[in-house]
Formats: sequence, C-alpha cells, structure tokens
Amino acid sequence: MANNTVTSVYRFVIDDVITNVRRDFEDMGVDETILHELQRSWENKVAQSRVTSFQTSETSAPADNFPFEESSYDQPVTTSAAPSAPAAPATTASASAASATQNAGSAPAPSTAPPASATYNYRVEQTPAANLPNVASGTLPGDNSNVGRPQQHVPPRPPTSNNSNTNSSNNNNISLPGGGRNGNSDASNIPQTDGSNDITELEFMSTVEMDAYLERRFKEAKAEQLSGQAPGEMTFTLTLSDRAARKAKRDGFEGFSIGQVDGEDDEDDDTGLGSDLDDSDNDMDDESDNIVLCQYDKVSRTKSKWKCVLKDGIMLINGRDYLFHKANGDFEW
Amino acid sequence: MSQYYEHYRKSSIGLSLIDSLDELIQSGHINPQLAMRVLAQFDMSIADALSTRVRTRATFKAHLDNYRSLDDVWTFVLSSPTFRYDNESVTADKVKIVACKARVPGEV
Repeated sequence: MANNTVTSVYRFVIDDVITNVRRDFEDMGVDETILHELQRSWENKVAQSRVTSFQTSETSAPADNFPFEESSYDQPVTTSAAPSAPAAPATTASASAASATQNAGSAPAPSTAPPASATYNYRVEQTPAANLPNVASGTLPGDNSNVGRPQQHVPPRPPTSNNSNTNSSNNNNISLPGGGRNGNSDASNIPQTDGSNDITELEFMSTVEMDAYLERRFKEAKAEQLSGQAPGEMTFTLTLSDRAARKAKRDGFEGFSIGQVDGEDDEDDDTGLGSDLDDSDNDMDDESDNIVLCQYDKVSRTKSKWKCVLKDGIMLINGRDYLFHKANGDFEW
Repeated sequence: MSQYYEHYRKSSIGLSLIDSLDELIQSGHINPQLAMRVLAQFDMSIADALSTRVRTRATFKAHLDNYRSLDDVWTFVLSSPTFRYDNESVTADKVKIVACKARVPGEV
C-alpha cells in the first residue's frame, strides 16, 4: 500500500534530519536530550495529524511496525518502569552470543538480535530522567485523546418570563420577535410559514416608541449577558430588530408597508462598484485543506487544455498524505 | 542551503517539525538560528527522500479554476480533481497545487 511508503519515507526524513543536525546541536552547546525531545515531539505531531493511516489494515501487525504510533508514544512513558526492559534484550543478546561461541552453527542469531536491541537501548537510555515528568504529562495518549473534542455546551434558553415582562410593560401590544406564535399580534389568519415574525410588529411604531423599544431591548440584552444567559440568541434578535428599525425609518412611517416574508433585508448591502480589483485574490490564497507541494518538469497549454508533468510531490488530500515521484495532470480551464 | 526548496515545509510533516521547533524555542531550549538550521536540513532531507525513495506515479484530471506563474512557481487551483494513485483513486472538491521548477536536488 502507498501509505507504507509514506510512513517509511517520513521515518527516513525524521531520522535523517535528527542525525544530520546532531552536529549543529553540539556546536551550539545544546544538550542532546533536547534533540531527542525534538524527535519525540515531531513524531508525536506527525502521528497525531493522522495523515498516514497507521490504523487501517495493519492494526494486527506488531507494534514495531508503527514507528510513530506505538513506539514513540510508549517509549518515553514506559521508561519510568523500564530499566529492566533494555536490560532484557541485552542479556539475551549476550547469552545468545555466549552460546554462539559454543556452537558456531547458530552464528546468524546474535548478529540479527543485537542491532534491534541496540537501537532500543539507545533511545530509551538517552531519555533523560529529568525530562520524565514533562514527557509523561505531555505525551500520554490518554491525555491527548480529549483535545480535539468539542465541549458539550448547550446555551441555556432565555427564560420565558422575559416575554411576559415586555408584553405587560408595553401598551401598544408589541411582542418580541417570535411572539407572533401566540396569535395575538397577527390580524390576518394566514399561517406564518417563514419563521418567526420579524418586523410586522415594529412597522407601526412611532420614532419615540421605537427608540424606547430599542433601548429597552438593549438593556435587556445587557442584563442577560451579564447574567450569562444565551448571549448568542439575544444578539440575534437585537440585530433583527435593528434591521427592522432601519427599514421602518426608511419607509418613513407611512402607515403602510408590505411585510417582508422573503428572508432578510438585502437592499442595504454595500455592493460597491463591482470592480475586479475589489476582489481579493481569494481563490488563490484561501487555505484549502487539500494541497499538493511538488516540482514541475513541464507545464503546457493548448487552447483551454493544460498538461503538466510534476515530480517529487507531497499531496494532502482529504486529510491523508500521498507521495508521488511523478505525476501527470490534465486540466481543463 | 539556499539551493533547496523550502515549500515542503508546508506539508504536514514539515508543519509538525515547525511546531515542535517553535515549542522548543518558546521554552528557551534552542535558539531560532538552530531551528533555522534544522529546517534547512529538513529541506534537504525531504527533497532527498522524495527523489530517491518514492517511486509512485500518479495521474490526475481536474477542472482548472485558477492558475498563476510567478518567479518559476506555478500555482493551480483545481476543482473536483480525480487522482489516480497506484490502484486507488481519490477525489476531492478542491485542491491547490504549488509547484516549483524542477531541478536536481543540490544543484543551483
């Protein structure tokens, strides 16, 4: 599968970078433990980004095949319990080496075992004891599992007593937007199917009434926000009535206007002059999730057909990484 | 180091490295110069890995929404691309391609 390639290439890159900057770390007098911390952190981040599928069909494979997923997680964590772990392979290796000297026939066995245990030993021992608390608190898989989850926050409904409050203090029988449901403000019997009433109650208010109404609503909203109740909902109704007020003012209170039933008012949108220069070049610069980073050998066009030959690419498509050595693309413009 | 492209830093593995380096800088463990040195090494390593360790070929067809060529860098914005990759085919609704002019890694 292609994703094995991705995993092994990433493993190679990480190891290659870490190996080649070791000298720079030494030259700058930075402790080698920092280098290992960098490697561990990098591997964790790659694993968490889930751009390669470590968990698909290969889940049954032993943990050693998952350089990012398993070993890099577990090694620092298990180190606390683990002086015995590196010791075990070492003793078996020496034991098999000892037996190898006795019967020369089993020579291949020790030659394969020590490299594995050696790298394991190396990485575990280099993890400094001083870093352990830091490492353990920061990188336990259990700790990270909750990070991306949405919090289950349900905004509380505004208390219904508000409705009766405004209604009773209001001589003109003005109800809150949405109060039309009660049936007391709609003179006509046409059932409303386009959501809650928005402006019909406000159309017949005078300027003074309107100002009073808005001020009251504003105070209510402030009070509600202070008490931490449903700020989102309140802002919404506020903007609605604000729009309605503007519309009412524009209509000049002639006593007659057609209630708007086709959604929000769109006349007062600032359309500008419509110049091409007004468009920010969003199409190019929007950070799309899917991106291909590569090099091109050739890009050619005939009429509206484009052909390009790309090489050495990293593609991030739908949250997964793909690598290609060469790619041919055909586009139609 | 300037003979290697830096645009692979925007890949997921590059961004992961940048994040890690940033954390180490923030915590005062390394200085920015060392981080830049690591990134330069990353540019080399990823270019090397892509050119020598990846043998996969891909083809794709798409509708070209937008294109730009600037300083030998092509940028394409494709809509509804279909990638044929080994045996699998992958589709997406939009993809952006950033392609630098190909050259042998290490050459000026």
